[in-house]
Amino acid sequence: MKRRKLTFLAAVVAASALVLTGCSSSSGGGNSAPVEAGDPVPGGTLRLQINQDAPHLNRNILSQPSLSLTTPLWGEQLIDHNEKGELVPALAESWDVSADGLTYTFKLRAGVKWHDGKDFKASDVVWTLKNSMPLNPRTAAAWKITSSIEASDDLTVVMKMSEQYGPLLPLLSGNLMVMLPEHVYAGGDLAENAANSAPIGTGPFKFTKWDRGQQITFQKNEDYWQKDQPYFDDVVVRVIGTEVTAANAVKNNEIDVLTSSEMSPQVYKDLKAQKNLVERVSTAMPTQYVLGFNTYSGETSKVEVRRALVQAIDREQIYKTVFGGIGGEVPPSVLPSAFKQLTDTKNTYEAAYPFDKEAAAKALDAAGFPMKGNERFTIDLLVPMGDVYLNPANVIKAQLQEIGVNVNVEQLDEQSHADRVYIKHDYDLYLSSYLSDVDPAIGVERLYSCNTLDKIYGNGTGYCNETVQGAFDKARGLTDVTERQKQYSIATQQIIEDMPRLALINYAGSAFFSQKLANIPEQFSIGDGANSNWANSWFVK
Amino acid sequence: MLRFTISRLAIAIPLLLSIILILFFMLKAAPGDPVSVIIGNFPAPDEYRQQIVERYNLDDPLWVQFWAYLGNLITGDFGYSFANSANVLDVILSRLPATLLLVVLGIVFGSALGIVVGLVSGRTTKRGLDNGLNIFVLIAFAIPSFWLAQLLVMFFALQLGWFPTSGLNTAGVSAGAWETAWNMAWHLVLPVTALALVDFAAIARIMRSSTAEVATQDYIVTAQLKRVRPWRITSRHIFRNASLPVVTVIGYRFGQALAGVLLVEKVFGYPGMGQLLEQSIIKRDNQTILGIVVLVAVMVVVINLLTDLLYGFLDPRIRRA
Repeated sequence: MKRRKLTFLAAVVAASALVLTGCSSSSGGGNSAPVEAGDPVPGGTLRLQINQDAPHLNRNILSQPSLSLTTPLWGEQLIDHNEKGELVPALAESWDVSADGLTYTFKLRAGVKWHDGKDFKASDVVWTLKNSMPLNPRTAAAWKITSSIEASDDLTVVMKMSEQYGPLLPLLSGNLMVMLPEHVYAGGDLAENAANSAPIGTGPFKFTKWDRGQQITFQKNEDYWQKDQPYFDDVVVRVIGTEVTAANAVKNNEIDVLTSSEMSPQVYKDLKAQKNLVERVSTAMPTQYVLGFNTYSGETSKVEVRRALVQAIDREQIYKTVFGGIGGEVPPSVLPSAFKQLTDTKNTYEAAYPFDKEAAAKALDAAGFPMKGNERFTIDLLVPMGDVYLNPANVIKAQLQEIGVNVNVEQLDEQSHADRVYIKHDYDLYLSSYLSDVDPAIGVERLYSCNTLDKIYGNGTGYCNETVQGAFDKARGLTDVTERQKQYSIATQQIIEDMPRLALINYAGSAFFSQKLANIPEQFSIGDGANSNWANSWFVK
Repeated sequence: MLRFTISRLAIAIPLLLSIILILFFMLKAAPGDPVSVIIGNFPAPDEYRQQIVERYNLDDPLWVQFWAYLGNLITGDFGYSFANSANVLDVILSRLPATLLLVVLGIVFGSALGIVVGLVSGRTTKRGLDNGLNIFVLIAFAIPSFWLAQLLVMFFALQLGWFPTSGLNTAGVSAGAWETAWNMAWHLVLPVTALALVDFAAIARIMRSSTAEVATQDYIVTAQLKRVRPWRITSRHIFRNASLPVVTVIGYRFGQALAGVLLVEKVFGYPGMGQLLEQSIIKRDNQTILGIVVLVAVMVVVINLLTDLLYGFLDPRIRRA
């Protein structure tokens, strides 16, 4: 009976895929191989897509996924990272960290000009960091231990910290901290400046126009510091909210790139079958889907219950039935795969709680939840909008039903979901996703930390553990990789023991490109396209 | 006539006020946090959050906020949109033309076709033709516009490649006024068709029954006995009398079309007010939601008033009554 339910579920998923893709996916075939790049060809308009307009375009003070695509076009940070995730120079030609790990000296690139023609100087860097760091949610913690930021000459910036801070350099990359022109912003309130909606930066493309709800237009920066670059005349970023509509647009050659960290499997399969498109799978910075348990109240506040539920969830099956075919993996442990050098491979979910329904059922009996009739208890699973959440939730529901736990799946819009989880704690399980970000201290920590308890998009499980928090605090203050690994290992071990959350899937975001694009930015291999400024790409003739 | 107009306007004002009152408190009761829209999807520093709450007076008591909103509204200030960093009125006015273009074109084409089909269907003596048209109208009436929109995209855009799948212009093409207009028209064909078909069905049904009813009136029988040519009877006598109820329906359809356009805009990624409303709801951009609803309510009231006035103009019997 239960098996039949699962088969039925799989059939429903498959059928909805068929309905969505319709008859339009061409049979046979599949994506083309990327073209030979050859010599750069100048000209043409690159057409990108985002799924929603942002209030403004200043990523330093606004964290929104669509900005990770538009920001690199116009803005640049001190440091960049390459396709291997290593830090490479951007506006800072080189940098030096003192032996005690407290003083950072940045040597800036000479001859860089703002889009309005003025020179880029060390004072711009000082102004940007001093004003943006306290407001940027990711750098606010670093700002509290920053003792001074000064320009020692026009091209040198010295930053002094009162304590060591591991993720500082990664935070200055990844377009989280774009350099802003002091002469445009000075004297006013950063959050209120009109330039936030008409940005002036140093990037390869100049902002020209924003037709809200429709498109943002950029044009070639003729004075860009990288010789001969960029090659495109213009870049148009279209706003297309619905995934299926955006997929149709890239299939019909109305946009050149479609990238999403939450692409539904149905749309993915449809695009994969298109001959005019090229796929690129990102590997290093995946989106992680996580299942949070309510540790405040209800059945799940008992650790025995959480462990039993984890033992009854077959993550492999979720991965295969829902995400089948898409690049990704079942996460072995708490830290996403991007942080291999920080991960202790011995601490895994599998080692602690191997999938075993009988053992799970027995554990629930022992925890004081025996079968009454054909169920033990009913719990609510809150899910944000989108099939990419609903489908795995339905599989979890079916799996937990096999041990007599009835799951009530409730799909809510983002704001109601946040209200129920973080403010009212009116849930038992909740599904969410997050981008694993540049460093565990930024991306992962917030899911388990006492500091982000009940903060929206932070830690909604109510879990706050001294050992875990202590290890996080130490890891953040270290710069040595082996030492940091030890601390994350302590945290991981404790988290797996207490099970406030289960990492379900590491979802490797896929991006699809027009076959005409040459030299697709390597950054698409490491994230969802964040950081690619398209300066070194072009259309083949 | 003047008294009629004034009395209609007098009803409209309390109606609008109650719409604002109910919606204002409903929106405030809905779960959600407008601050997270401004900061984004990452736990925000407390200082930054507090700064925003104070800047926009988000912790004032509800009644204070309501009176402030109403006071501003009277002076034409619709408030500030967090999600767009701009005045609500500017945001709405930047999207309104695209939506009105879609809705008006949909109603014009839908009504024109509906009137012709309804007239033919109501006048024809060929049973087969009448049945055929009836079935077509019923199918059009039953199809949800968003589903039809999907089908149109799949067939005419993806399969045949005749039309674009989405948007209002081709990205990156800047050309002269004529080419821009042509490009826009090309993008409008599918969304307008999706909207027009629904209007067409509603109007064809009314026109058919109204035509059939008028055709049995004594003055038509008289005309027929006087051997007036059938075409003349249809165009002079039947059309004018039968189209009266249609005018009411067209006015009424306008309000419906404004609501229905939301789904069609979504399917076509169309940069109109429907999409703005949807995004504003998702982001709890309450002032924008209120602004749109108030504006749409005003438009519907005005259109209904114009419809009543037009009715009187078309039918002297009503004017003199």
